[in-house]
Amino acid sequence: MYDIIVNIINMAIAYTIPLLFATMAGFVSGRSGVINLGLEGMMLSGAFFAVIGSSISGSAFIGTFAAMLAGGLFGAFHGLGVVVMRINQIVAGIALNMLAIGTTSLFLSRIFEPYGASYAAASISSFSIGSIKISPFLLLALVALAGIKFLLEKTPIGLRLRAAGEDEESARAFGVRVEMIRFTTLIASGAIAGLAGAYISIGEAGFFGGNTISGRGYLAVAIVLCGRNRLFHLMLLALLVGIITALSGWLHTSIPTIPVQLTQLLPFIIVLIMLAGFPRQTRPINEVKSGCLLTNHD
Amino acid sequence: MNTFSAIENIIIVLNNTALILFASLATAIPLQAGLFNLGVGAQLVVGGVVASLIVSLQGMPWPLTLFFALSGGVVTAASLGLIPALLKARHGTHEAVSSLILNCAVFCLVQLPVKEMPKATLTALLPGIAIKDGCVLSPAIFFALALCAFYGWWMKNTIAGYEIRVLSKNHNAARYGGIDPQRYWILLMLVAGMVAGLGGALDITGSGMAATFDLYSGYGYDGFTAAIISQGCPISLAVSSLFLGILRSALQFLSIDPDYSSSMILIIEAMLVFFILSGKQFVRAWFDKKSVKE
Repeated sequence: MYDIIVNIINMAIAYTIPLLFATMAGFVSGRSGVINLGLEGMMLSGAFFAVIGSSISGSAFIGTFAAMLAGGLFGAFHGLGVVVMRINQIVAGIALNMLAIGTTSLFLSRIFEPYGASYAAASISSFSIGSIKISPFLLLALVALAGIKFLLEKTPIGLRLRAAGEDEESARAFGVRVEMIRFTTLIASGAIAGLAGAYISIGEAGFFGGNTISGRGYLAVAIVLCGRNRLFHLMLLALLVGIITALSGWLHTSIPTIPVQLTQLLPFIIVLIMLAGFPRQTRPINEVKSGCLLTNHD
Repeated sequence: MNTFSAIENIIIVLNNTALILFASLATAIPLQAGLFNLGVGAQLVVGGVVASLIVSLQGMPWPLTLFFALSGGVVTAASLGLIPALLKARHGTHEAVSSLILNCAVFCLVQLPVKEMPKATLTALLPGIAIKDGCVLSPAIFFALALCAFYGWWMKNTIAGYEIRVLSKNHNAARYGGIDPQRYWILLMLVAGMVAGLGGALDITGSGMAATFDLYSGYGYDGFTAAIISQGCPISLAVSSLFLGILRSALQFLSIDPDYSSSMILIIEAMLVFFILSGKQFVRAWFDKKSVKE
């Protein structure tokens, strides 16, 4: 019994960490006024380039750094679309996902000759407290959480970021460079989401294949929409989804007759129900601007 | 290498184009009201899988089997498309995210082994124009083009079409004018699901393959691209679908490795979406600047 609980806790931690990073990324960009649907693509690119970085250099830290760089690059591309070219944010996010899937599978098949899955030359292993595995990424996530909270609420930059998100016109009137803020926030958001991907490939699975992310970025987007601008609520929701995913994984191992696909379905269904249960998902900005396709019409 | 003759290539292109046209119609129809139907890939797949399951049941004359296969696919995919619409109407859920999650959920079932189809019975049920042995032009392309023309006519020339377009352009004016958004959301997503399911089912019955859950995963992105870059214009929808159909058929022949094809087309499509949309913005901004100068 104790083993089962420890197992579930370990799995829950492993599933929650990338969700934490990804929801943080979505939260930050949402506070600045851009709904970031490209989280899945950024996580994917982070995971892939983490593996590339770690297999080229042999060090896992370089790999993580490469993941942040790649995520930031994709975030910059997203920013180019949304801020400079003023494409609809949802469309830009989906296009970014397509780009990320395309480039990672292209490079995967070119670079790693027995194509399909790659290997990580160096991985960050977790250390244990008792029998619970705690990855350094978890500590990094908590530090990032505290850092983001501090940045957003106690610094002038954070104030400008929130202003750009909450009331664009007034912010502009006060001299806040809204475009610049949104662009840099998207880059930062991409870097954080890249860290999520780095954990998945270096810290957890040890390799990168076609299916490593498989929809978790979209779960993060849904959590951000439910989170209602409160970072703490977001983290709780992310933890909840992580626990549910772990439980569904355990369900498969304990009742083998249920096909694994149905248990993989469970987190998505739960998140869908969660989305329904949190009504009135305005975009993470409180104002309803007319003509904006993102807000919810009430 | 491509060993087919020219006419066979054209047929392959047209068959792919039909499916992409169905997918892009399924995305474009809700787009007219500002809704994003991002679960088209899943709806195509579900339509195809249900159709092939029904086809594998024997004991009916082929017109009946065809009818049930098509309608089964249509109904299942429509109910799949209904879920985001109902969530939006009752609870205010954002339909882009809920349809995306539903999409991912359906593709989770990818490795689920679909019931083994007896190969002998799974011939192409749909009467097609057989040009050569093994290469059949499915009539799906004609259905798709007819649907596209009907969609264009309907959006422009009916009251309902007008009301739907107003919903996306100015929501407050629409509500002031008495247009009920919830009704149209549900209607549009239902129709979009039906269209996608029809496309998947037609493709399965036309080609006689057994459907698995990962058969159409790329076509959802193709439909999205074509719908976004044409922004609702039916002629542009057909032409973009043709272009993407040519791309997808061409990349299917790249024999280097199968993964190469889907990745190249995704990169091209992402660039298309980005730069065509931004081109429109730049043109509009340039025209605005010009008018301000005068």
